[in-house]
Amino acid sequence: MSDQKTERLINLTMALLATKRFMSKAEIFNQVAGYSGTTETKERMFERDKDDLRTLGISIEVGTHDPLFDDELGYRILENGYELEIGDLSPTQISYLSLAATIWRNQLFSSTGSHALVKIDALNGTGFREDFGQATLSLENETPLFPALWEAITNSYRISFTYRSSSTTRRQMLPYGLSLWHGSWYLVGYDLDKEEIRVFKVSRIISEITVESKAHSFSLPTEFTIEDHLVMLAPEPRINYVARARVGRCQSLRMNAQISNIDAEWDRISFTLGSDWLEQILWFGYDLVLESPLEKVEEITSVLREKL
Amino acid sequence: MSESALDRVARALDLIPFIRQNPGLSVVQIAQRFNTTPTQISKDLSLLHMCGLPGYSHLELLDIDYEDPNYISVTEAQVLDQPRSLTQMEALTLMLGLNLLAELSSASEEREVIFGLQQKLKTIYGESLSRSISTTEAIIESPLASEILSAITQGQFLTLTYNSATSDAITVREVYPISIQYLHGVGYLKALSVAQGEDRTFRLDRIVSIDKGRIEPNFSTNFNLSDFNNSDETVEIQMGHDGLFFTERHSAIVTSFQEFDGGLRISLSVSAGEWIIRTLISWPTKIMIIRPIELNQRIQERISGILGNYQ
Repeated sequence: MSDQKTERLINLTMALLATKRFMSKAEIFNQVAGYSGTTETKERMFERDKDDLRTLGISIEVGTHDPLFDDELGYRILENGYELEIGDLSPTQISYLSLAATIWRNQLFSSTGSHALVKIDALNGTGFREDFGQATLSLENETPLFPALWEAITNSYRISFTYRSSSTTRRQMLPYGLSLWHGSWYLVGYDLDKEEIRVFKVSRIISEITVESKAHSFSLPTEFTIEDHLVMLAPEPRINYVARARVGRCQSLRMNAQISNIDAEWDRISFTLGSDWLEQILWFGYDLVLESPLEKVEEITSVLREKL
Repeated sequence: MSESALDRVARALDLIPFIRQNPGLSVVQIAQRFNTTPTQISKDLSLLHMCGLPGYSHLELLDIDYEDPNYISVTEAQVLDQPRSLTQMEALTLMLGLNLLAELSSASEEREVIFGLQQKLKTIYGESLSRSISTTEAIIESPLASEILSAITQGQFLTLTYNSATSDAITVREVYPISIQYLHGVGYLKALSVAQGEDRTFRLDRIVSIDKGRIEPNFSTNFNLSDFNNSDETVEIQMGHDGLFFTERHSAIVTSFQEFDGGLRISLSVSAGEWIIRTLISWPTKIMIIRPIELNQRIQERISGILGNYQ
């Protein structure tokens, strides 16, 4: 972008912020520095400039000078839409907001976080912040599709994408929300083919997000609460296992187990496990020998034979 | 990296209120805060110096003092004295950050401050933030995380009782904690091991207990810290379609994978022999080890040994 255009956009923003009444196009072209050329050229410039400012999140209000004569439209930017109005913040609150903005070690969120932080520091100055010392916290979730999904959710776009799980399929859905669970993003939405609310792991979406409708093509059901649909939050059924564990080994299992000694080499331990029982037991190799339930013993030996 | 056309306008509009509230910073310091170069900030400032309100006399222009690059200030901000409102993505970033801090904090007064801020953001930025985002169990919680974090802040030594999954043993060691990092939801403590004089990484959920020791801020500045991951061996495996789930689970060590013969061929970069043996044996389906051959032999022997226990 040329310096002239950057300068013109800043001048336009300032002029529309300063005006109390709506400024007509003619006034803008006459008064705001940077508009030159034929009327048509200026009109085209102004249309592009308005779009650019909207892209920056600056909303331009359109209205008329005089409610009785609505033929000439005017423009202005309202302070209360433009300015950050978060109310008074205490030093502690500012410190927490700063920490929340800088917690991320992820390209997308660390960049939006640092933008947010510059704005917060423009409220009260950096000197106002309490020091949290050298504690560093970071998350690492590369989420290239996140902005497109979030835009689809906030604009209520119908979307489609290619999803890879046990098979690869094209899915059409109404996106309702996103959940960060154990470090991964999940998309919750109404699957238009399955006709029910489904959860999709975002990292398994292997295409771009295609927008299939205009904005506001659906509204979030009034009774919708994202947590109700997160299957991973439901408590997992656990069952009881009894095994021989070599003395001094199988430490993680022993932490929540009932233990009785058999001999110098073995203890008998009783514990519960969820759906990942097979992995948990096999992790301890020949230091753990499952005794019951019998069907699980049979499953373990058959899995092991297959792995040979 | 070239910036998008509008990024410059956004930055220019944000520079004025920022400098106004933080007078006396240098061009270099401002550039750091705005993730750009000092040259770019200087260009922005001279451009802003030409901008103002209609009339454009010295009374209407922005007045910026930037002759001394070590002391920048704004004398007249005109209508740009307040920062712009947060974008939805910026508000969302703060919201998510606050949620994670709440999950990590143990004191109720901390949670109250965080909750108050979340309410403020929700009120301003609408229902999407409250109804369409969930961070319940965003990370795997560890009850000791907040205490360890406070030890990091104070520069306090810790005696850790640690349950190592790889060696299947509980050990006690004195460490100087440096940072907590969450990778794919799992929390790790990076700390200097006092006995070895080297940095080590501990999974938070495997720390059984901690004892707090002496306080010595900046102790770690005497040491060069190595990278977070220290991998030196390539392992190549082949498995069925569930290989996709294997690559998801172990994405930190997967260097590449491709469809092969109705399944997946996966390359891994790992350092611990014992860890990879246990990981491959405990995966519930068959995994062929292409290389190294010795690893395949060790795993086959181990599986035979386990089966022997059941006969």
